[in-house]
Amino acid sequence: MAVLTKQELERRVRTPPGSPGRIGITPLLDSDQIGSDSIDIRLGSYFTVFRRTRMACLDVGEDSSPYDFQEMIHVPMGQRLIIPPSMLLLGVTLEYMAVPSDLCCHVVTRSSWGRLGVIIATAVWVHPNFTGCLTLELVNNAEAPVALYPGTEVGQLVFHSLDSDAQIAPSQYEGQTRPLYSKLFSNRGEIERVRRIGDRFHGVEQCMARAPQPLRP
Amino acid sequence: MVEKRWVEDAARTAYRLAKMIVQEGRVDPERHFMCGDLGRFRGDVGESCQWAVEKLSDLVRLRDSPEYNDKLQIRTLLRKTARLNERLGAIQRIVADVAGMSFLDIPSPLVLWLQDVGHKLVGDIGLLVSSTGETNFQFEWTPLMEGEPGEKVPQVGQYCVMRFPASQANDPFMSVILFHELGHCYFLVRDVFQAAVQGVPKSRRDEWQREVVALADRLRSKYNLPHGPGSQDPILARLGEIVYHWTAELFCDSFALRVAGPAYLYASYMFHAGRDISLQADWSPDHPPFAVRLQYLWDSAEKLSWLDALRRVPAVAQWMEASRSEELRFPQPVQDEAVVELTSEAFRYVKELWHHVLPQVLSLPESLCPGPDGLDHVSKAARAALKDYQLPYAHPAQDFRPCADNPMLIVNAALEYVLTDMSSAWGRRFRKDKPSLDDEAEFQQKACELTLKALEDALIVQEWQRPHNGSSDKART
Repeated sequence: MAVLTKQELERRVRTPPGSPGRIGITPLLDSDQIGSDSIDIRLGSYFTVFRRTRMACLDVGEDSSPYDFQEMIHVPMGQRLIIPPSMLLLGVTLEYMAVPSDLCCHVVTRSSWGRLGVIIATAVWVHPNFTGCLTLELVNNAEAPVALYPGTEVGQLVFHSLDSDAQIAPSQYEGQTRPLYSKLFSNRGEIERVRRIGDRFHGVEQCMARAPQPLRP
Repeated sequence: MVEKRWVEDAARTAYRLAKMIVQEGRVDPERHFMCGDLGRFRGDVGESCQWAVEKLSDLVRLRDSPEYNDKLQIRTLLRKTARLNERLGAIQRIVADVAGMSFLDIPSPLVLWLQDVGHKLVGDIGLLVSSTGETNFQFEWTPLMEGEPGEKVPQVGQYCVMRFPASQANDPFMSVILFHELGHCYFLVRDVFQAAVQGVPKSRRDEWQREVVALADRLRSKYNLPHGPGSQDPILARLGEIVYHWTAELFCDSFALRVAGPAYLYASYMFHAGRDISLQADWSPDHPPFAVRLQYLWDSAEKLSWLDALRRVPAVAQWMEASRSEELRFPQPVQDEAVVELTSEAFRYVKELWHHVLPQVLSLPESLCPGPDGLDHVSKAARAALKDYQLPYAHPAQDFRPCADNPMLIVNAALEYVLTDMSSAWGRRFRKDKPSLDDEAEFQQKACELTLKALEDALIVQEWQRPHNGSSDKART
């Protein structure tokens, strides 16, 4: 897995739409955004923030909806959004991405923001064939509130080449242009499976508890 | 004597003015939209405020000083203040509507384009867009504030408010109907109706006079209807009302088609189909039946050279052909034969006027309207991009200019894609033979989102390319 450098990044970005291997990234406001080994990404204008509710915890196994505790807000370019310390909110990149099938990439925070305590992504991996704006998990790790400005550069994309073209089914966040709510709430199949196994174990435990105890000699 | 409540009213006026100025800052487009002076409140609000405060002081002085206790002057002042009060009430309501608007409510690039087009076509009139809880699009006009003859009354500007149903928010394809509402503004400001009437030869206009009087007499005797003097005759008044409103509606449809392109036709059809109203039965003295409107849209499309573009979209072509083959009739939404007969007669005059209305649409400046050639060019690129599930016409070119100059081109191109290629695209993407209704709805929603994103990007890129004073140097980290 080699990291793509500027020349290759520029070639792929400028390839016409529909061509194999093309990196789709739009809008690319500045040609300077393509760096020596990465492409700078900007913060979009839509955010998903967490509301304070009476819910005890965020439990994806329970019958609840992300709409109960999250809401989307819009901060137009030119205005700012302040993140209090230790707060998580979801943002989105201004750029709409289309990763080709022979590449994958990961998102890293620009160190200038990192030095202020801001982390822009925790789920950093972007699979081949992904299209859409990237959701950013913005966290302020500093002691003081930090202001974010939509439209500014907050992170970088580092592209890696793959050994062969990946055959990956479309992501559940395919084509997103705004920070989408977690799909864990609507797709609880895995948790149900784990629970079924748990129920069976629980049944065995109960049987064992009811089993007659051996007589003492 | 001046009553206390009058002074209180005047005080409220001054307060409202101050509040309005504060709120005006909240809707300043330079802060929100980086878009020059579009949508800014026009007129000198500060001067109006000063004027109102002066009137308030006059009232207080007249109440307190016996020598100023001139009843006539007090009455005049109160009348002026009341007029100002009413005017400001309307503006304040508008400001409150607009202050609550956000990008989440409406595709703002389309609104900015609408304001830009409106500014060029109707001049210095504030065009505001807001949402409403009702299910139809609305147009509201606030007239000029009038003063006494010879008196310099500061004007706080002319506004019209276009409201769209909140249920249609975030749908760029349906938002196109706002251009119909802009047509109403143009119809009023340019006095299109009067111009059309003047276009009719004088001899024919004289014939009209005789015909309508004879018609009124016939209907009166046939249905035993009441009589009124001259222009107050209820039959003649109703006849004039229908001719005026129906002409306005047909003009606005044609105007919207000219300015917004074929997307208006789709939006118009979907809007009426979505309301679950029979194409024929939905008519009133204010609005012709949709079947009639569709026929006139077809006629306009033919004159505007949109036919080829429309034929590319099989669904639209089918709707149009279906509506053409139907015989025009006016079924009754109410059981009133007199109304039906009067409306049918009025429609004859509307048809006659149409020949003098359509040229006014055709004469709109070409620079504001997406022509078929421009659309063909954008449409090709947009469809290619959307096939890759990418943004329509927003891919970076050599010069990093991913936007069309006219955002309506993006909307039209994206819509064309949705209506023609959507099913096949879905199958290609998700390896399904036939998408379910849910799949189609989801894909259409996605197409809306991508189109919105493309529109926003186009606006951002346009603004980004403007020269600025700040340093563009940045340290790579």
